Amino acid sequence: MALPAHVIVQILLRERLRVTTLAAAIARDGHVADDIFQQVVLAALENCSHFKGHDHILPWALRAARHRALDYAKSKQLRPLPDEVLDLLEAPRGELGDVAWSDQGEALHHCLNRLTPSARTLLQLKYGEGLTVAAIAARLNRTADAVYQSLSRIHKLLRNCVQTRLGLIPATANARCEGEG
Amino acid sequence: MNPNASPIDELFVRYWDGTLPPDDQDRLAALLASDPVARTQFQLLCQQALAAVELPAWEAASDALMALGTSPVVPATHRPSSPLSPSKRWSRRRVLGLVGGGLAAGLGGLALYRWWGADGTDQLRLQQARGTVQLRDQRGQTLSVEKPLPPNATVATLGLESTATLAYSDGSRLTLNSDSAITLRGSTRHLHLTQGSASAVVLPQPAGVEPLVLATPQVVLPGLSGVALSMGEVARATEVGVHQGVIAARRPGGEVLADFRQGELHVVHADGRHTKEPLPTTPTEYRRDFTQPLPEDWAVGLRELWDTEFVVRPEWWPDPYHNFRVMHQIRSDKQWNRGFFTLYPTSEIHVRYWIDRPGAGQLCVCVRTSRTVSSPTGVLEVNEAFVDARSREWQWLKVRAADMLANKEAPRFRDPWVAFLLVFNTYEEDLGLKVAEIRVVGPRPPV
Repeated sequence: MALPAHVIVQILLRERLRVTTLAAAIARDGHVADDIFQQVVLAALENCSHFKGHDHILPWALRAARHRALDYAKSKQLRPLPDEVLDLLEAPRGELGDVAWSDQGEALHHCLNRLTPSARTLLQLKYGEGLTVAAIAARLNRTADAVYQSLSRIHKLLRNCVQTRLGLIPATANARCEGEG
Repeated sequence: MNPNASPIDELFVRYWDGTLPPDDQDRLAALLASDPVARTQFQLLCQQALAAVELPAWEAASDALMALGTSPVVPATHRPSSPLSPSKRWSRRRVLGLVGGGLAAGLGGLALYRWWGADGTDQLRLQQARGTVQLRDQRGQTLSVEKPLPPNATVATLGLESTATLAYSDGSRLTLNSDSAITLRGSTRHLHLTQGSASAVVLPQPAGVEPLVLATPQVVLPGLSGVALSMGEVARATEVGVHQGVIAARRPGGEVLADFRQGELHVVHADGRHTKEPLPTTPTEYRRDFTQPLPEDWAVGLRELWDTEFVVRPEWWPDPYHNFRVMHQIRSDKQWNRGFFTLYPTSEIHVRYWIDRPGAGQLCVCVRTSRTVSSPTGVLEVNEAFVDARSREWQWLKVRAADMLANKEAPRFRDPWVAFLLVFNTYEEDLGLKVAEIRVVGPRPPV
C-alpha cells in the first residue's frame, strides 16, 4: 500500500538536515543544497505510489539528493569526492549516532548565536553569500591565508561548542566560543 | 598551518572554496574513507556552512563594512525600522528543525509544521530585507518588522537594490524584487502583486487550511501548493514562470484560465489574451538598437529619430533610491523571468552613445542569479561613465562585467549574472545623452 503524502512530508522534514548536509557536502553551496532538498520533496510527492514503507523514503531521498548534487558539481566543474566516500557519508553515522540530527542542528544555532558579530560576518560572507576566500580577503583587506585560518578556527570553535552542548566533551573546551572574532 | 584548527577544518574550507589542490583533495578523501570521526566532523562542518546561509545578509554586510571603518552598506534611513533581534531571528531552516524535533517527539500531525505563533495561527513575516523596504498597514502606518504582517498590509521595495523576503511559518516564502509591491488583501494568504515582480516557493499545503492565493490584475493563482514560480508585470500583462509543480490559473472573475505547468512561461494580457511558451534561456550575447518602438512597459526614456537614426534619450524621473530626487534617466522594461542577457566576468557591455557635454553619469545593470525563484539581486555599475566622453560625437562605452563590481550594491553572489533591468543615469543634469545601441559580447574563454 502506498504511503500518504503527509507521511512522506513528515519523514522528509524530520530528515531535512541529513539530506541537505549530504547535498551540501557535494555541491559546496548551501543555497543549492536547500534547493535540492525542496526538489527532492516535490519529487517524492510526485512518486508517492512508489514508496512501499517508511524505511524506503530516507534512502531514496539521500540518493536523489546525491545525484542532483553531483549533477550540480559537474556543471560547476567541481571535482567530487569518490563514490566510496559518498557511500559512507550517506550511511548512518558512527560517533554521533545516538544524537538526533535535529538536536545537533539546534545546538549549532545556539552556538552560532554565541559567536562574535565579526565571526558571524565571516561565515555569512563565505557560506551565505558564496564569496571565495580571495574575495573576502580583498573585501576585508586581509590576506587569503589569514581568512582561511580565521574560518578554520571558527569552525573548530563551533564544533567544540556543539559537542559541549550535546554533552560529548567537557564544558571547559567551549570557553573560546565567547571570544572568537 | 593553523595550530588551533584540525586538518579537517583547513581541508574543508579549501574544499568548499574549490581551491583544494588535487593531492590535498585525495588526502581529504582518504581521511574521510578511513576515519569515522573525520566523517562526522566533515558533516558537522557542512552543517555549519548550511546554518551560516541563514545569517541575515544585510546585518553581516554592515558588520563587515563597519569592521573596515566605513559606513554600512545600507544607509540607516534605508533599513527596516527595527532590526530583528538575535533572539527573535528565525528562518525556514530553523522552523523546520524545530518541526523535525516536534515530530520526532511524537507530537505528529501535519498541521504541526505550520505552527509558529503562540495562538497557533499561520503567520507571515518579513524574513529578510535589503535596501529600502516599506511595511504599511491599510491606513498607511508603518508596521514593525518584528511582528507578523496583518491582513491588508502592504510591503513595498523601493529602488534597484531593494528586495524583501516574506515567509510563512511552514517555510513557504515569497521574495519581492526591486521596485515592487504586494498587498495582503483581506487575509495574509491572499497576496496581490500590485507592482513589479516576485517569486514564490510554496511547500505542499495540507488539506483543510486556507488556500494560498497569489494574484495580479490579470491572473489569479489559487490554491498554491508544492510549487515554485516567478511572476511579474510586463506591458499591461502578467508573466508567470512555473519552475516546479502545476497551478490551476484563473482569471480575476473566477473563470478557469489554464493549468500552468512546470517549465512553462505564461503571459496573460489585460485584454484577455493568453500565450504560453517554454521557460526561456537567457543568452550570453545581446544586441539592441532602437529602430523598433520601445516595449509598452519601457519605464523611463523617450525614443526619437535624431540625426539619421533612432535613439533613446533620458527623461526626468524621481528616483526612490536617491530620496525621490528628480534625475535624468533611461530605465528599460524589467525582464525578471526572461532576462536580457547573461553576464560572466569577461563579458563586455558596449554602448554607442552621444553626449552634448561630459559630466557625471552611470550605467547600472541590475542582475539576479540564474535562478528566477528567490534569487538575490545586485547591481553592476559603471560610474563616471561620461566624465571623459567627447562632446557631440558618437562613441562607444566599452566595459567588462568584472570591472563593474566596485560599488556597494554589487552582487554578493557568483556569476553568471542575469541582467533584468538597465539604467542610464546622469543625475540631476541633462547632459544631452542619446543611446543608439547596446551590445553584449559573450564571455571570453579563459586563456
